[in-house]
Order: sequence, then structure tokens, then C-alpha cells
Amino acid sequence: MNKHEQKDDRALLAEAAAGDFEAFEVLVERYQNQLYRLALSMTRNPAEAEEVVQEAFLSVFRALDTYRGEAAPRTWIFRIATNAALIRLRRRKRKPFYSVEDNAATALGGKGVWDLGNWSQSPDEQILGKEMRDKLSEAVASLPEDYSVVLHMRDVEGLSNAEVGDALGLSLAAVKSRLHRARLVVRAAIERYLEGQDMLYAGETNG
Amino acid sequence: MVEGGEFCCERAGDLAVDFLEGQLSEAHKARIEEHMRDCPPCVRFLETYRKTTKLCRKGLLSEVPVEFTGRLKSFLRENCSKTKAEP
Repeated sequence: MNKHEQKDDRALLAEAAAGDFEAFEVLVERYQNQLYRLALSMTRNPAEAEEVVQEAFLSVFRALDTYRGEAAPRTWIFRIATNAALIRLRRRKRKPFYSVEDNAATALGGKGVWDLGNWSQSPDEQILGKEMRDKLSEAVASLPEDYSVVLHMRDVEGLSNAEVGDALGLSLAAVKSRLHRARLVVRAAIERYLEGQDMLYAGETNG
Repeated sequence: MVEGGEFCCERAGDLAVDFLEGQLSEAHKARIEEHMRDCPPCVRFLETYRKTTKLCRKGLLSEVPVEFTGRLKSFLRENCSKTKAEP
């Protein structure tokens, strides 16, 4: 439909930098949904998320001349959007800090190892109802932003750990550490919810 | 990790990120797999940990409001041209 749609991100960035606004708009269309979800996961507010995406793309537009190609375009765009969201969050009162400690109590949600549920084989559609989606969102929202953003980029949007590190200016080790701790918190929240639903062993096949 | 190089459950948990992505060294992979043969809770833990990532992907990939894209387009058309007009 559009002469730019088949082009890769680098080509679009170059053409946008040379003044082709249509190329820029194709790039916007390519990333607008991902950035909206990222901004929503960070701000927890649809109106603010939308403003963050507007600010982010305006910043991308203004920075087109400065893109040197060291980072992949997607990483570069995610970095700009993350910064836009963080600037907004800093204006708000920060949520009380709690430490996502790497200990057995966090890892297992306070349970002993032999009490863990066995829901890994449960069909997704059986356990992924509206309530579970809400619990997942709550668990992610309960994390400090620098943890939830890593989980969102890696597990929801599917960036690689290296891309997440580039976008956030973190070492690979820091990405993995935050990702792991964030996943532990979410895993424990899922386990608590399923326990309440009496579905802790929903995936077990009884002999 | 227990002194002497044996794996404990906590160590297996710490390596979960790399294990899931297939990025463990052969030596680490062999040891974690050996540990799991004798440790059903670790198997449950790693399997539900893996499932957690899948549920996040499916459960948090939220819908984007339909009006959003139109508003974004108008906003950018208006404000990017202003940016350009500035000296």
C-alpha cells in the first residue's frame, strides 16, 4: 500500500532523517502498539501512556539526525520511550521501595519446596481468564519500575536480553538478575491465585 | 551452591534464566539436569517458571485502544511540522 512498508527500520530511519515524513510514519505504525503497551505497563494509566508515546515519537523525530546506527533501531526507539516514561514517573510520588531480594522466601512465595504447585501443564485457556490477567497485571505493577520494565520488554514484547540491556543501559547480568527476580514475584502471584482457585495441581494427570 | 561444587536448589533457581534460554555452559547444563533428576520440586519450579513467562506473554499483551493510532498520527503531523519550522 505504502512504498515504504517493505523497508527495514534502518532504511526508514535514514529516509526519515533525510526529510521523508512518510517513512517516519511507517516507523511509527510499526512500533506504536509496542510502545503503548510498554508505556502502559510503566504508568498504569491509559491517558498517560498515550502521552508518553506521543512524547517518545516526537523525541525520535527530533533525534533522527543523531541516530548513528550503533544500537538497533528498535532498541533505540525503546530507549527513547522508556526515558519518556521515566521522566513522567519521576514527577509522581514514587511507590514505596521494597527490595526484591533474591532469597528462597521470595522465590517460592513463602512456601517450602515440597509445597509447590504443579500447574505447568495446565492449558493456558483454562487458567488465563480475566481474573488471572488482572492478577498478572497487579503482580507486575507491584514491582519497582526498573524490574517491571525489564519483564515487560523481555517476556511480553519479546526483546532479547541484550536488546533490553541496550534499551535500558544495563549490563546483561543486571538484565538477567532483574528479570529473574521479577519472574519470581509473578510466579508466586500466579501460584497464590491458583491455590485460591483450587487449581494448584490443575496440570497433573492422575494415574 | 554447596561448598565442593554440588548444586543446591537455590543455585538451580538462579540459573533459571540462562537454562530457559539454552545459554548455560555444557557443564552447568549437565549439573542442573543431574540435580533435577533427583529433585522433583526443582522440576516443578522450573516448569512453572517457564510457564510464567508464557502466561506473561499471553496475559499481558493488552489490546491497544483503536482511537489511539489516529490521535497519535494527528499529534505527530501537527507537532513534527512545528519542530521543523523552528530555526
